[in-house]
Amino acid sequence: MAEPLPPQEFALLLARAGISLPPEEVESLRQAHAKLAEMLALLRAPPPPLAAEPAFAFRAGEGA
Amino acid sequence: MIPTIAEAARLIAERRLSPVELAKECLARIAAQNPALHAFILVTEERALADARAAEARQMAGALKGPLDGIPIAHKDIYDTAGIRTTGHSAQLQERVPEQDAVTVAKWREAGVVLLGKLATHEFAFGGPSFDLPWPPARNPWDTERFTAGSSSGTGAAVAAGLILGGTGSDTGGSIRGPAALCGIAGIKPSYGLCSRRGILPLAQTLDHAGPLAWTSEDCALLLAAMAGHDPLDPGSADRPPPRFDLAAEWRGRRIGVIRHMHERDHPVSPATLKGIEETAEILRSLGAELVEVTLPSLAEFNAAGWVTLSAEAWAVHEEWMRTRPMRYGEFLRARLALGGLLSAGDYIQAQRRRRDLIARSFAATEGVDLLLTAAAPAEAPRIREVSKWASLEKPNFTIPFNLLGWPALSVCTGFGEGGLPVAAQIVGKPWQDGLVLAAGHAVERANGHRARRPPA
Repeated sequence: MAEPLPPQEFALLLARAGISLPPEEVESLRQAHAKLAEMLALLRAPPPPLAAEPAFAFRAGEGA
Repeated sequence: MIPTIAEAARLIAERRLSPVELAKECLARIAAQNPALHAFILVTEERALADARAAEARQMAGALKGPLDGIPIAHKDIYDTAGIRTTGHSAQLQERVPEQDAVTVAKWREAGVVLLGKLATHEFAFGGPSFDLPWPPARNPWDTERFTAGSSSGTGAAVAAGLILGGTGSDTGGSIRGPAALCGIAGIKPSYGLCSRRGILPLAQTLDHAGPLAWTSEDCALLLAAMAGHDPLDPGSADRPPPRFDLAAEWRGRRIGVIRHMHERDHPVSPATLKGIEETAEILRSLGAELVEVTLPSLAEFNAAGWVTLSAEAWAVHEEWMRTRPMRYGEFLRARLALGGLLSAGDYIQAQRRRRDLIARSFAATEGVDLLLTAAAPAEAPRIREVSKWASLEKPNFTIPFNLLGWPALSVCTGFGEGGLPVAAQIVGKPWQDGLVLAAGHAVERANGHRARRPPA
């Protein structure tokens, strides 16, 4: 499993997102974030081709 | 004896069953069992009796609207019901009363259903099982110490216990098929775009599907036929006619792809679950279908793209409240939403690029295959107090791949495990093959005989 971010670095990540949680919930989230990091690595392994499109393409003229 | 919807519809049409008496029987079962099951968070008894009396008047006048006229149902509490509290099972919306029905609620109302109330859900279809919300989580009627799965937890429990004959669910990563599997009933996540989501509280719009749960696949077909159809005001709704829901399929010439790697290697299932999948495959083979083995991308790949997509989109829905009043969410939902808030724009776009790749590879791997078969859940229901807040990160689930693909997928009961609780298989089709998926479920249920056994009252 990926190592969790150091607590101070994780606190900055939370602050950047505008999230304020009780301290005991922050620690659980920090551990879970390491598991999420594994999923994020899997999304990028192997890296997609430079021109790979996302699943939903913008099509001009189709309306909102 | 609790009838299926198909049985009740026939008896009502023949004037051998009174919709009012049927509604009263369901209300009596709710009064007796809901204190232990917590499947309902609101019972609308007056509305139910009024609906039932109206259905009975149509019955006596020979003017029944169709097979759902007089059928007792309830809605997951993320479906808006005009004049009836709709909360998402959350303190955030504890007193909210919508002015309009969701599109699917209105369609069922027009079909003549009898509305018994609103059903428990994981908070906003994502946070549960939670014990710190205004209402407790639903319990599994096969064993009330066990989990129903979620998020359509109340619908799963209420249908299994016979409190209703059918109900609505929503499915973003497995929220119809999970409760169907653990509660031993049928539940279909339809093709993406088949049912309007307008008037349903969103979780993650590119993955959200509305659909029914019922005791049988046949009943799901009746319910789905009445909720399907294009909605020009739902951007995800497909502008094409719904498919036919004909359960009398011809199986000779059909190819069934067993996705063995998913349930044997990617996430090995319990012996009873594996036996149920094998028996389901054998039933379809004995009817004339050909079995082949299919290899799709791994569950881990699907789950990575699925959970990043779901988490990011859910964060976007709840961002404002997560910043201004986070403590009005339960702890499970607050934590799961917060994780989505930590994703970057790049993370989300990479998930969408991977999603396109997964869709292309899945179509290529299933060319010439009509249906797919794998697990709906890994095993029998776990103890409700032992469900992890981060379960979705710990082991890949079997259901979210088909939310990413948008393909129809049904959970059917395949028997019972060592603990006496239900196990299930998942039958999956190509887009707009919802009818064929339900026909397979119907054939399997008729052959395996497990629809004869209900949970203890």
